[in-house]
Amino acid sequence: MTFEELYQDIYPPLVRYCTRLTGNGDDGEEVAQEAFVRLLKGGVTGHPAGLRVWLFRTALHRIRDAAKVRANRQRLLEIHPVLPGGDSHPGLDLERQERIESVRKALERLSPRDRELLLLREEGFSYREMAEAVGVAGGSVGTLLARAQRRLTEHLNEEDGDDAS
Amino acid sequence: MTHPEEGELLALLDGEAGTGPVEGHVEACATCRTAMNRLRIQRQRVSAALEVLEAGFPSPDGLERIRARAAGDSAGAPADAGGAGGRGGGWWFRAVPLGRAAIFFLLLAGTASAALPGSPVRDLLRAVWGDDSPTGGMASTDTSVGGVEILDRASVSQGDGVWLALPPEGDMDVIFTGPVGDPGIRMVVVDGGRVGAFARGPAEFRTGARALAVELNGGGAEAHLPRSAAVLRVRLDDRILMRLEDGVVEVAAGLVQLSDSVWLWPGRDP
Repeated sequence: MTFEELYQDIYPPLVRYCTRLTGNGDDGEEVAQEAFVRLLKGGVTGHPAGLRVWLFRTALHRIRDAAKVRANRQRLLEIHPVLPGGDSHPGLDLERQERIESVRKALERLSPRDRELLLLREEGFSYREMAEAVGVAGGSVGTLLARAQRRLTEHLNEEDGDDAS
Repeated sequence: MTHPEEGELLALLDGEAGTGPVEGHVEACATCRTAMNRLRIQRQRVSAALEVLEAGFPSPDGLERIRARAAGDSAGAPADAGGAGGRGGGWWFRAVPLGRAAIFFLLLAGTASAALPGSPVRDLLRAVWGDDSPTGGMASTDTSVGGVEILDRASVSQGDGVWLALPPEGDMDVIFTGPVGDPGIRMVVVDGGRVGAFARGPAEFRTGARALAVELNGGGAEAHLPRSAAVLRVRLDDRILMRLEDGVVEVAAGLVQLSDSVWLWPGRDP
């Protein structure tokens, strides 16, 4: 498989995964790009399935690192609050924006690992691949996923309840 | 056989467990079928919810950008791109590479921290880098922030260039405060690849076609955009305070309160 073919196959889902994990399209693509750049610069080779796991794992680690920076930025904003304003999703209708916001809030209440696993499953990863990408024991993935999806469902219900009230 | 654990049932549902004792048990156990049905409903709910989230849109030139970055050819436009506007009208632009702009703003921040009573600049810097920076936070002598050396202000004069080497790995934030009427505009450079801008007062962030355009009206917003692709303009009172195009920052010098020891300098390759 050529690099172009690998890019065509994996780049779009990687951008989607990173976007959903970071909550920001530009951040998502930036991280996906970084992963591919590292792949290219590092001359990483292997079976396409293995490369897919490698790319997702690399992006995942990058996002985890960025979380530390976000925490620092949050502290900054707490010192000098930035008032909400502007349209964060121009062009989207209000109802859809509210729905996205609701899901985003529910997702953010999960632990990072739960988020990572649920989103990887949506990208069609096997349990073994998820274990490798996230760094957990293969035998624990089912249990972790079951707990994660139960928690997310509970949070979604709560968010929906908040919206309805 | 005792009832399988939840994770085993979900694995069966996800097609991860072949035919075996778990599947045989579920076929014969109403309790487990009920549990499995609950897991199925949860799974469908989660999938439907996640599908709502933004999927992101890979840029059409993604492959080219990856190759350029891998080849180390992502430095952007020439250092001196020739700012628009010239010197007329009481304010003008100078094109400076982003790194120089960053060090300039660090210097500006340092100046402001000393000049403005109760200025929070020092606290802001400390908040961003925290105590876990390579230098353990802002050095008491203000010569190093986050491992980046800040040159002695006296050593920076007009015509001299200063290049700020952004770390190839990890993250680094650079902050500046707006000088006119304290608009609270702050710029954040993230890992040398992205730029974010914050504003407390009226301001406008306008980026390239594929990114967002946010007009602020007394509110605030945060915009993160890839430096390599986007255009950022920060307006204040209908004047462009700064803009970023192709990795080059242009600053409206007339809107920046320069001290005797802090200057804008012409763009020049380091």
